[in-house]
Amino acid sequence: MMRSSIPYVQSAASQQVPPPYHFPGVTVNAFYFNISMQKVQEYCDRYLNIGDEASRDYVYRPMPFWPYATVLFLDYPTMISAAPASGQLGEVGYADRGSISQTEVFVALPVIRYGRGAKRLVTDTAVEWALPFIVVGNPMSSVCGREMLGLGKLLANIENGVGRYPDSFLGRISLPGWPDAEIGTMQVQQEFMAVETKPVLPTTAGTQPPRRTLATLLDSRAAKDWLGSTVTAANFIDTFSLGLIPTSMRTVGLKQYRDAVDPRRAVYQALVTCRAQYLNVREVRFYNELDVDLHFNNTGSFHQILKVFLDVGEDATEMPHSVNTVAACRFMADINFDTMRVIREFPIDREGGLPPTPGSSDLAARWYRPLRGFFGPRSGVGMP
Amino acid sequence: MTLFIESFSTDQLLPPWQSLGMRMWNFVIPIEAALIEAHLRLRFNAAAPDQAPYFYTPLPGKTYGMLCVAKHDNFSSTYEHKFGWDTTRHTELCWTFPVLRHPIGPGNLLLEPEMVWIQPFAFIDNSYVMFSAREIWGTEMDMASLRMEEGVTPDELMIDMAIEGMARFDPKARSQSIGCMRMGLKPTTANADLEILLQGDPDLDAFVDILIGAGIFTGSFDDSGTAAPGGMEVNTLRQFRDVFDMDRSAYRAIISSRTQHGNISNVEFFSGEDTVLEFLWSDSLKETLQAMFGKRVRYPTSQLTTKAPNLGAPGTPPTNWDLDYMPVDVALVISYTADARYRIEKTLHTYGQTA
Repeated sequence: MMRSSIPYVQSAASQQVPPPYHFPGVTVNAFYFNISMQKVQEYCDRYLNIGDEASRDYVYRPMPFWPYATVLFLDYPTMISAAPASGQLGEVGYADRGSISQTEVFVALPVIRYGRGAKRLVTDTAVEWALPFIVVGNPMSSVCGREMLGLGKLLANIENGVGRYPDSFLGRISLPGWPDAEIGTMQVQQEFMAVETKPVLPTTAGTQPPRRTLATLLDSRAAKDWLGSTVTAANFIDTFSLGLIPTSMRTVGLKQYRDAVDPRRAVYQALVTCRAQYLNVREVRFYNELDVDLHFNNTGSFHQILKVFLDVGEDATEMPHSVNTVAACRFMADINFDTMRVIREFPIDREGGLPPTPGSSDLAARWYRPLRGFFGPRSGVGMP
Repeated sequence: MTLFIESFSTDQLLPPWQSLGMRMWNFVIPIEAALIEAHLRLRFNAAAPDQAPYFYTPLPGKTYGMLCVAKHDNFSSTYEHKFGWDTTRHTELCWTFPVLRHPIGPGNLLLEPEMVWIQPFAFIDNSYVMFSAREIWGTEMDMASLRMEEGVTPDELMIDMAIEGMARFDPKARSQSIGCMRMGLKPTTANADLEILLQGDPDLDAFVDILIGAGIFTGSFDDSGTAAPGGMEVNTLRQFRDVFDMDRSAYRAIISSRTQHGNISNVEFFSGEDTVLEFLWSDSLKETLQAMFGKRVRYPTSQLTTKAPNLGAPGTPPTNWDLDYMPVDVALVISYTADARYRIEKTLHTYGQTA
């Protein structure tokens, strides 16, 4: 069976703005905390390592030398779509419509996709970022992220600003949720997490001496000499920040839809990757991680979210769950979001005696794609 | 069976749904058959790439649709495996009209049709329900800020809606809260006698008969399983974009669902002449308005004397109501309180999946 090309009807009522996007002047506040490798492996096995292991030509595993989760608060003052307008309605081009702004918060876990077998281990192995939690403040962004990109974006109220001290950071997220699991308990908007820092370093406002922070390292003579020899900001960011600040983050997510009649069934499942490219990274400042107050509210239905990436036990404690950060920083960047790709479309069982829909794979790692394109036949999801 | 992999982000309000004590205002509006036909041609009658085994046509004669505004104070799932974490309250608006669905027989003959309802657009103020409606039912539903307030007398009704969008498309424009609809009843409006309202308008009379037949403001629930299902059968085009090619669908199907109303009380009718229903003309909404209501006269101010509210989020610019107002003629208004049930019946056709 061949999967045919199915047209999408662009609705005049739809406010969706498709990618690729360009986001200039984004302020990013990043917080890093320890995460158990077991949690990451459980996430990989549930949402990425799908299907029979014997027939699967890849496996996702945690990055063994990076046992950290990253919480990123992003403030996008301007979001511009570079997508061409749909020709169906004679629409105004997206770039000519104007721009929107929004805030976004996500938890990112680096994972490694290993190709299975000797050849695939070389050509298909890649580092990607799983986003087990992502919220946005703009409804259009949440719909696009969920329906097109397979990112489980929830719509939240996100407070993203300066804390008690000048040059500090205060971030809060509130989400719709339920205080308890009783039948009939009404959904309410509740605070899900909050983070507050002291001013960026150096500062006298902190209560703890910065012992482990990268900012302390930057104070050494040797580091300053080395920094002076670095050629570009990108080199500095990539090498000196030890990867704390991503310059190219390729995300991976499970895009899936339920059957309308039997919601336990899936009618579509695919792994989708997208690239968030951080350009012109600047104004990098560090917070004293010992003075960061980062906590999640382990209450009611929020417990279901937390147990995906935190060791919070089986039941909600109805208390804030504090997390010790190992590093915290702030920087500005221009971000491009592009190169969306289905890397694995899973076969779907069908009823009525029909065979399953065909699966397909396009798992080649980024570095190998140009070589494959030059020397080999064209192939990939959606290509004949 | 390929199992859907559950996560908190897809922990949705699974069907069937129920609403207890829903407060509903239905605004009956005449609509051009050509506009309905254009909508059906693109969404339900197109080869995409295969043809669904149905052909949809407008109702013969003068056609009406309904702009429905519902305030749900106790809305939940009745899915058999779901207990708790599912009760919400929200307000929604949807535009719906009846059409005929003809099965296509041998030789492409159109067989005896059934009447079904189409919902070209809907707005809601609850993201959890919006995600569920879009992703399970395929409803074309978007987020909005909605205010629906009723007072002691009918003329104290205030329904206002704003969305995040652009008043004017311009590369330098910024999105903000923009007004998109206002509804109200003129001063001293009193409820009217339905029979008098229908006199001299056989098409409107026929449309009200359709509503009565579907039990929209007259229905009751029959849980014995012996009676015909009743209610409105709604057909939805459920589609999701491909990640690589935005003009392609990863999945596209026609879904059949049913809406039933029961335990109905406080039924009141109002004359369309006593009603003000205005859409606000912005670049974000004008395509929708033109597609559904055609070209109409616009005015620089509202006909309502009540003050338009600020529906913007805290800390954002106030809602921009300084737009052109496009009044829409209303034939009849029906308000009532009811319980409602919503269930998905079947997937009528899934595109692009032949053996």
